[in-house]
Amino acid sequence: MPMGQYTTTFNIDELITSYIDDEIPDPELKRQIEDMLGKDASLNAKYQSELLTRNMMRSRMPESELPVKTYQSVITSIDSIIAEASLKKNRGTVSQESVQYPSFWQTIKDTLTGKFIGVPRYAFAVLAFFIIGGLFVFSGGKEVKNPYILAGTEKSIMVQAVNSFHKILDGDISPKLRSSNAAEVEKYVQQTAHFNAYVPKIENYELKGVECSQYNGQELAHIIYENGDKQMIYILQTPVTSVEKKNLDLPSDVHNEMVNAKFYMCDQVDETDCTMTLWYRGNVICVSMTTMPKQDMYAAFTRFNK
Amino acid sequence: MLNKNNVNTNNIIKNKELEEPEAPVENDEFSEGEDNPLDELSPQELEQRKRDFEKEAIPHMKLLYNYALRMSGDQLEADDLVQDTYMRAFRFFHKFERGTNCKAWLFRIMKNCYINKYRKNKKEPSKVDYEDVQNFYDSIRDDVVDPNDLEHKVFSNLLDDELSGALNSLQDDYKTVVILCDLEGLSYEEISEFLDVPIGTVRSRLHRGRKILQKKLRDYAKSRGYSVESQV
Repeated sequence: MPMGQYTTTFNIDELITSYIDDEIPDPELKRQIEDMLGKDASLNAKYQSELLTRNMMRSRMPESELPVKTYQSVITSIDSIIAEASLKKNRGTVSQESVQYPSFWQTIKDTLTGKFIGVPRYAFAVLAFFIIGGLFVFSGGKEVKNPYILAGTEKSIMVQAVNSFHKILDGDISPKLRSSNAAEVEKYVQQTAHFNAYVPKIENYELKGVECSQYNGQELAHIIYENGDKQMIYILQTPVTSVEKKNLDLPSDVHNEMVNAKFYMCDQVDETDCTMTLWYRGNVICVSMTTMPKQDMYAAFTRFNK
Repeated sequence: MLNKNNVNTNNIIKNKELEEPEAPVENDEFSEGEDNPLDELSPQELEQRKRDFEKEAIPHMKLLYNYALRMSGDQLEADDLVQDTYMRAFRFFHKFERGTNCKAWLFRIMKNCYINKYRKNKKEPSKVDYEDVQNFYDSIRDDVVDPNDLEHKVFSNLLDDELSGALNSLQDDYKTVVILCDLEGLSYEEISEFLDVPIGTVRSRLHRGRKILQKKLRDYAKSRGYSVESQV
């Protein structure tokens, strides 16, 4: 009989704890507890009191979102230890081989100069080198790893910024207003897109102009800067209301980071490993894209966004 | 028939709970002292391990982060703990038995990291004096507040900080089970697996943890001027 088993190991208060958590598998014991709770007012009060405590902890202490930087740092660290392990393995293999197999290079030479269907094997090796190299250059040798870009739909502000940046790089979008005058650019955005854009002065970069467009009924401004080496900083801007009206999406983790840390910066957002930065400026959401490495963008950003 | 009087209400629990508190982990199975097991793997094996790890372990990161945050009460420390846990888990992923509970396995690693971290910092996680807890528990075990009063006068008027304060004031062993069961929604079996203690101990700690929590919350309420009388 299960009750005997319980009564020799638990007290009734603990049985109530188990009952609250639905951790009593025996239906008969469960029924007996319910019976007791119905008859014994003080026991019932204990039960209600514990149930309230548990429910209150559940409802008043909700789960926190996993910060994106925590996720990213774990993934990056795993990649690093893989790279480190591969490197060690390779070093170990090469040194071992050079000691134990002195004819290693001779073997390679023989393999490459041998013929396959009448053609020297090195010809295939050269061909493979160009194909693989071409793919590497074409893709930039990088992968998109940002979880919000990977999981984002076209409605995501982050995805919009990546897409628009590439259209600008490809020449599919060019500034309708070409001007290096910030006031002119601000006025153009105000007249065309009906919001107050933020046009900062960026050290070593020249303002090239602005284009406005619409997505999902939402006005967007694309502001373009370039330096002497033709390196670009592109800033997509849209009013905060675009997210409130659900015309565009902004991941809640990213929003939290923008509020708490004042900005959210990430790389690995596209195949060319561009750096993206998001921040609020008044009632405007700004998303910059650049081919600059993250640490350089961080230095530039903290100088211009004061 | 189950009867309040036929149940031994005190002694058995007292004995059961007077177990040794958890000692810092000196050389756990995930300690960094061991040679890096990844060095032996080929690039293909490493990539395979990464894929498996992403499938099995990464989805539990949010849960672990929340646990770390609630245990440490500090975002930076929680970040460090998660990072440390996942690095060790990846290195020692060959020790994880496929088909078993990966969440509990990760929690065990995190617990060791947590304990070791405190040891490194020359601090110790709060050690539980079970005799003190027992005495305190005995003094409050029959305290009952009218549930309606409790809800309206106490709980609904408490600030979130006070709830966190009450939770953080629990000793680690009690706080752990309350967090895992009440906040993370783990079953007794999962908690037992994670803590490597019998299910009965989980139940007992949970009951006491909640009881102590209630008392703290009532104290907060009293200190804020709410009248909460106990009925014995």
